[in-house]
Amino acid sequence: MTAAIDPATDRGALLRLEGLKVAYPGQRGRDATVAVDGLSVTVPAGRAVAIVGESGSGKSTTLHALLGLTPRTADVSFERLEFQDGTTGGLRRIDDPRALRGRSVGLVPQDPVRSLDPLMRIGAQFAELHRHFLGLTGREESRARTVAALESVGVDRPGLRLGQYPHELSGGQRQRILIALALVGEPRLLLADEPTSNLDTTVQRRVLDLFDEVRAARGLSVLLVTHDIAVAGERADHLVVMRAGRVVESGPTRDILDAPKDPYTRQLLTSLPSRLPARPVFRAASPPRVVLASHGLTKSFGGGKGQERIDAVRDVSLTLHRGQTVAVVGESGAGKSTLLRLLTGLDRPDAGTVLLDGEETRPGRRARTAFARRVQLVYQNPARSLNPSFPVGRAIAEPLEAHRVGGAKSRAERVRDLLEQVELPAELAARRPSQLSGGQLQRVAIARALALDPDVIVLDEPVSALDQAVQFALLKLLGDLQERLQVAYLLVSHDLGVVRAVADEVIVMHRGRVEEQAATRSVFEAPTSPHTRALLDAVPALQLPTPLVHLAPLAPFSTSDGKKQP
Amino acid sequence: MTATTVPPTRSRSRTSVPGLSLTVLGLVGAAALLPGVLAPRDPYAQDVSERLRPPSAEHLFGTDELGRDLFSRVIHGTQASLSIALLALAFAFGLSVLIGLTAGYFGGTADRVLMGGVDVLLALPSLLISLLIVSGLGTGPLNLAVAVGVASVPTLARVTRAEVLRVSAQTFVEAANGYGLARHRVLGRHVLPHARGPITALGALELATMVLSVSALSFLGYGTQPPDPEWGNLIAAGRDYFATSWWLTTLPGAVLAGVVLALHRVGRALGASEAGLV
Repeated sequence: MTAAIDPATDRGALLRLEGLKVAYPGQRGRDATVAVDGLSVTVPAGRAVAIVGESGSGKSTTLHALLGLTPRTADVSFERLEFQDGTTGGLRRIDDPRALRGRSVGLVPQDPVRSLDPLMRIGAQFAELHRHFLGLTGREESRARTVAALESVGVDRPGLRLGQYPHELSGGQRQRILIALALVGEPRLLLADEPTSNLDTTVQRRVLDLFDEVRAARGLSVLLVTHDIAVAGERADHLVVMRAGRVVESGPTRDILDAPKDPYTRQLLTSLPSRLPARPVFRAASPPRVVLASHGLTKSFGGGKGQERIDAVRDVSLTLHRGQTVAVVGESGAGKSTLLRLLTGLDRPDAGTVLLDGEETRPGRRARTAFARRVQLVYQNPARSLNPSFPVGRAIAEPLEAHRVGGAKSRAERVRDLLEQVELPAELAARRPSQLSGGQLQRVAIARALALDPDVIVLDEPVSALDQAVQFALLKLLGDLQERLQVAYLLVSHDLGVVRAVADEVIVMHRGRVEEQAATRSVFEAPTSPHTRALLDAVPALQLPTPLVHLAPLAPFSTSDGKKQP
Repeated sequence: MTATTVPPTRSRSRTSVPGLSLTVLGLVGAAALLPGVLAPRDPYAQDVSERLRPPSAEHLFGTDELGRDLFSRVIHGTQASLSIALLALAFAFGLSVLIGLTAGYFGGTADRVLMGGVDVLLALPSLLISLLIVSGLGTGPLNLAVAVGVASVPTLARVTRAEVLRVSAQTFVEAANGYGLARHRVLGRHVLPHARGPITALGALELATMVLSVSALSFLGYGTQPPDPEWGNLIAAGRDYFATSWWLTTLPGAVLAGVVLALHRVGRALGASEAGLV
């Protein structure tokens, strides 16, 4: 399938790729894997095209293949690759995609933290490309060009940045620099590989705006790869939806969002967090049953020679009722993680108290162990929070063992029961983490957190490492578990869509302080603090026809949450 | 339409399994366990008429100044050299894992004190430390093992500490602490098994050094005493006749060098497979 070109603004196709195949040959008894199977995509000049798909769908591989950047072991072939000729404006056949690198196609890599050489100052990173593309050797000219380039992508104080190292800059600044670097060779197509997935929502918005500006100002085309259909829907003129290496649907964005034809696209659209069943308004029991509370929690770091102490958390008070979900939101560096560590007793506060059932928690190993029994933590990355060499059944049973609950037999029974609660088959207990998918692993982590029947589960970005459909299923599970077990959740998330869908109360943090603290509805509909408003404005809005009556009801996500290929 | 295929570049060759080294170590192991079976003659039997014979079919390694068969003496000496080295390795392993674990996991004062001590050891030449210990404690096999083992403690303890730090920073260790698992369990179940690989690989490399050190000590006269054979004292005894009978020092020396190289090779392969290169 090829994206149709809008005849009104047709300046012709800039890039046309047909029948791309990328396969990894089988090794040591494994079958060969086909990463991309027969992909075709056309990028019209001056337009943005987005490839949307979940992890493993082959979207990043496609970008790499376009530049000949796939690993040596990969077998890459295509039927046709054409790029617009600079002089005639017609399409010219390209045999080796490596010829496109830099001057025709610029790549903005995925990870702004790791994509800049940490030992090179920003100026030197540019100078290298100036030498390579423009044959510039003079320092002054390279400097002048770099300053201009940094200015054009909105990096403040460009003169100062030249002498800085990547680690001295923020994620957003680094992403801007990567964009400026990709533009040095004056390409006509920018490839953006998940350019914002590691950034805060507000920064994400600014970086995406920058892509739009650059595109308009220089008449570039953008090929954006993202897992977030909301971002793609907001920014791209054409969508290409990929799944398991194949294109399932492609066409103008509006058409796809309004009337998705493929069931998978429909599933992507129906698994947005906003489509979770509405939560009933939370009413505290009377008398109120507060399980976890904090008063004036404060923790600061630093304060070495000549350094100011930084308040990571300043005077935070909160209450968490039985069966309630309280969400903590804020940009990175807002103090969310520190607050979470204080509330779970992993760190001691400088001032203030944490109260469990109205009683102050005491220091010491024994008190800590008793506390651990009631308050459990689920981490962001389940693959890292589970010991890779333990079968998952053993991992689930370990908290029971640690607190000497029951014997071997009753523990095994409890593990089966817990697996059932998180909707996993009992035979998974014998598998190792590497044999499970991300969604399954997070379910195992939840089962482990439930093992001791805690009153509070602290969820640290519990779904941000997972694909959208898996996220949806997991959030639904968490809701069901809460209803059944009346466990309270303290949720830390940067995803406001998730927060809105599952939280009863929201605490907005900014630079360690509470900016706003109110019921979810009122925070989202009538934010009082300007900071909250900025956060909310940054959420990519997907205008979907509502209600989506023609959409099929939510199907079970059998494949997306299935067993990972070994 | 013709399909364009981008040619794959050839992949890096894999590290080979050290077959020759394993054979050498297998033979040496057999010699240590069953010297009586492998040795053609009695290592103590003297035959004055056969003094200082060069290597021949009858005496593979020739004979010494008392007419003893050198090949048999080398085979019988294996046990002494190897068993002391292994004992030294066990001692070094135990002590350094204890030091490294405590320093890495508990940190703070324990870390500073233990690593300070290790640094002092690291600053002294290892042979000097070994000599000091042997002259202080005497020359029994156990003392020799301690003397040789101590020299390897600094490196092993440092690597153990680094590995423990690395593994302790992993989320699953924090999670285990988080749900209240007792500390010794966290260490034994979650930290040590994941820290083991690089320590084992380094241990194999250290064993090679230890075999060399054991022989060095007995070469200097602090180890196995004549007439009991041991590689180091065989080499030492042959020095007096080096001008006329080269085989007395050269052949035991070659055996020693071969074993050390083979151990080294196996240790390197172990390390590479731990790093995921094989």
